[in-house]
Amino acid sequence: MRSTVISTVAPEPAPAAPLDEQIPRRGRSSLATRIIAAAVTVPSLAIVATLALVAYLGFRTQGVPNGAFTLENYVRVYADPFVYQAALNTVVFVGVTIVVALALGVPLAWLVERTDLGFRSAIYTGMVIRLLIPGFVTAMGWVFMFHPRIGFINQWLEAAVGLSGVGFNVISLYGMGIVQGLSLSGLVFVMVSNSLRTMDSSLEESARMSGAGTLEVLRRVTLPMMAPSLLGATLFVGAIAIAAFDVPLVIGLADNIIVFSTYVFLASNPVEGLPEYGVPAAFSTFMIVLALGVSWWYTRVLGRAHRYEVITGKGYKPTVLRLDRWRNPARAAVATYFLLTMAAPLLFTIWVSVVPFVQPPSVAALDAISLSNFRDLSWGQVQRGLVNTLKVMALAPALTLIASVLFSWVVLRSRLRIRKAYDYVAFMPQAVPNIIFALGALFVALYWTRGWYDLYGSVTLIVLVTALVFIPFATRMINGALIQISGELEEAAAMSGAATFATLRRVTIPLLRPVLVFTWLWLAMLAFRELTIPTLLSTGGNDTVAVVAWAAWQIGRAGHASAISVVMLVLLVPLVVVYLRLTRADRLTSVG
Amino acid sequence: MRRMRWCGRAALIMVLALLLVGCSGSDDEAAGPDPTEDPSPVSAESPSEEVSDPAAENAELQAWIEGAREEGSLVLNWGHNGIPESMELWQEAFNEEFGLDVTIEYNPSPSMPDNFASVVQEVQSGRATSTDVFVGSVQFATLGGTQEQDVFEVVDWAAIAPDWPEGVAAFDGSSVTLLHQILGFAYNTDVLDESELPQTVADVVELASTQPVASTPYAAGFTNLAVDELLGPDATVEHVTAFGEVVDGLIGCSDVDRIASGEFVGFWMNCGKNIIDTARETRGAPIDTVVLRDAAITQPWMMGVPKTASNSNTAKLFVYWLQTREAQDILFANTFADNRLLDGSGTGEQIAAREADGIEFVHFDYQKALDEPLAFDREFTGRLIAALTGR
Repeated sequence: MRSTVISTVAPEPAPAAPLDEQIPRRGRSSLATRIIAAAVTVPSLAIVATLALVAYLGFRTQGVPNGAFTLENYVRVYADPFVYQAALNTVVFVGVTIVVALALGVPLAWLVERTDLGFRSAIYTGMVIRLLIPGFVTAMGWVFMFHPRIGFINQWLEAAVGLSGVGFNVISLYGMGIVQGLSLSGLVFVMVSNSLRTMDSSLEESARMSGAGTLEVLRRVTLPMMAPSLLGATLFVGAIAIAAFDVPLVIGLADNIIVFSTYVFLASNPVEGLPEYGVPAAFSTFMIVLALGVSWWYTRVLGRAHRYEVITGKGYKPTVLRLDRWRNPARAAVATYFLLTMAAPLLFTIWVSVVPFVQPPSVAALDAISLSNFRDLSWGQVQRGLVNTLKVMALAPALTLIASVLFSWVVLRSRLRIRKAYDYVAFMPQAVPNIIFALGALFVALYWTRGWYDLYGSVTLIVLVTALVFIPFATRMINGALIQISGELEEAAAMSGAATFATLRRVTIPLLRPVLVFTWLWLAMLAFRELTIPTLLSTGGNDTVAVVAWAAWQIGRAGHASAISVVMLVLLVPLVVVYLRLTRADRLTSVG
Repeated sequence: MRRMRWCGRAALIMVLALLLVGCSGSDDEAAGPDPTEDPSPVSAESPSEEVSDPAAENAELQAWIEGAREEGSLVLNWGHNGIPESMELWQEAFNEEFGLDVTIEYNPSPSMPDNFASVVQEVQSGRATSTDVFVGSVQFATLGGTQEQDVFEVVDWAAIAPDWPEGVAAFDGSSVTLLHQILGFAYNTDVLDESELPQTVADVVELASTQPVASTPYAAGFTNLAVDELLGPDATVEHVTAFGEVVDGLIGCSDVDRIASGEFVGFWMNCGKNIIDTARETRGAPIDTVVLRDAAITQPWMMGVPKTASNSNTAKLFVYWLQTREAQDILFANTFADNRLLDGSGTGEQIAAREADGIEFVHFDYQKALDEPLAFDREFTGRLIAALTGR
């Protein structure tokens, strides 16, 4: 039996034999494998068909199925110099976002999972609550804090120092990237901390025993071992940043900065004429090709995944590094992080909900505080939005996790020749902006679902589309965990006579349970925040609360939008806290 | 461990329960009969209710009333400023007027292009539309009328409402005016005093070169300047180009709070004086509008009943009733705009006051929108957007 024991010295060089012969996999033609593959084929076909439809729409006038054939959409995209400017802006914006998100999320994850920083539950809770604050409200808050003219923090700084222009200008491409990066650092934290939590620290201990300092251990042992999760986090953050339109819309447009997402948003929402879906559809063809390339590269990294295999059948306990004199500075840094990313947006949201119109805090504004924004809400619509949102939050993550476990198992545990194709497909929704995916789903539902299977205008359609677009995130999380689980555990079950499904149910899934539980929560929070999909699929009766808040924002009722957000926070925060407390035992006691 | 198993099972049961509930089809419980089926015939035996005089004399109106009684509901995906406040009052007054018990289900949907796209897609695919009445700018009314997409029901309004002034209904009967908006330059009253206010489009460019003035990313309203009575096409492009070089930022039509906060001192061209008035009167925002002498424009918002609306009778009756003084007064009280063509119009008074100051308005209506080749021309709009935003 091939030994997969991790030695206590530096990893051995990669063996010459192909990976397929290294990682234990189930038989090529086992019935269970084929059944699982068949199950995974359903969402795969849904993804491929939707994207194929979008590519088709790129050749149709206005981007509608019954439009005339045209190449104009592609001409407009690829021959328009402005598109290249928007693309360049997007590269800078996404680059800054990724750098900021990683620079904050990775150290924070390391501090929480590898040191005696403390306040672990509070930090996790804060990260989750952070997601409950809508992105457009956060963006507005940053404008009022750090706008070069009216930003009140900039004004205080200038008054304190006695110099103009000393503050931070958020109305810039870099400002946008910083705000977006701050908002996505929580996702990086989740993806990386999951990997750190389940990582055997014996290699790090060995390095320290050999005389390596903390930073050297971090650089030469810990970070390389975290490479798959870091790469997954980078790709995920980058894809979200490309598609996110709330920060660029609120901050970027104020300085006439156009990135890809605002370009698509404005093309799809002209003030006159029919929405133009053909241009974003044509652009998405490029994104699909790019996604195939990135996915191929990512799977090559996964192909060397056995180097990162750190969870074996043998017991281990992660070593916690003592911070000693660095503990208080570290805690201060974490507190500052939460002040910027959670406290400030939260306070601003509450502030806007109690003032008649958006204005910086001032003594005069304090006199105008009232609860009129709450009283004037359309409570019937809010209630309906809440019910629809809870349905999406409960069902979409569940469907996603079921599909993702099967995807990951097929990719990492089966011998199917086409398993890499499944991995490409699982990654596809990540690379294509949600608006495009939702657009394809809209037309499918509009034209090809009727009668008892009619999906148009239903919450079910939103659930299904949301579940599909979440597959990349869930599969990256589960891949990262599954990579770290040695095959010897499943081999032992097989040698004891367990069939594939039994092994999956009684060995693999229990080992994956911590990441499944936590991924479910994060998907539920992302489902809550998701705006693009329900906005495009909304017909009135199936609005989610994010759409209700966004609609209020769009008609200039920022106070109503913030009031709705406050209501949601009051309702959801206790649920989140209870959920985290109930699952805490699972996180601390599981081996995997 | 036992607690986790219990929690896991409870969670699973909850998920399954939600699955059963969540897998229901369309959530539109207020929808009436499927319009693709034969409409329910109005019973000849149903007692006729006592209704207002015009209705009593008009057989078609009577049919609508009877149809509305059977339908019992009206779904409106409208996003207009101030509409939510009007809905409840409208429902009560509408039902009282015709002796009905109609429930109006109102869904705020601020994106006019999205609403229109939904209507077009739904009608073309043979589905019941998600809104029983579409409301939008005159440009969408022309797009939905018989000259373009032809998705709105054609009604002989001249026969049903012969006392309506000319221009209330589109000439082809596909849409009816709801209100008129006055376009202008919005400004922060705490920052700009009267002496600094621009009076012409050139003044706007001059002001924007020294103070932060915003515009919209889609050059909203600027194509209206291309008519011969105003700047004409070439001068419009020149003006927008000059303005584009000094505009400070791009915001949405309803982002008036960013003017009120002082982030921008002005907004040109605003999307309707009534939007500014609503923010000022209802929330105390320090903003107002000045109408420019060489760019005085009104444009209507119009209503069309989609051909596959579920509650077609109720929808048409409601559109008819919205032209009454009672309905218009409710509208003006909440949205600060109404149909200028009707007697007693608040918007009409605002226009008259400015005309008394020597301002000459260009009034866009359905016919003019069709007659002006550049008013809503996509290519011309694209040129203006490029000039304004650099795109």
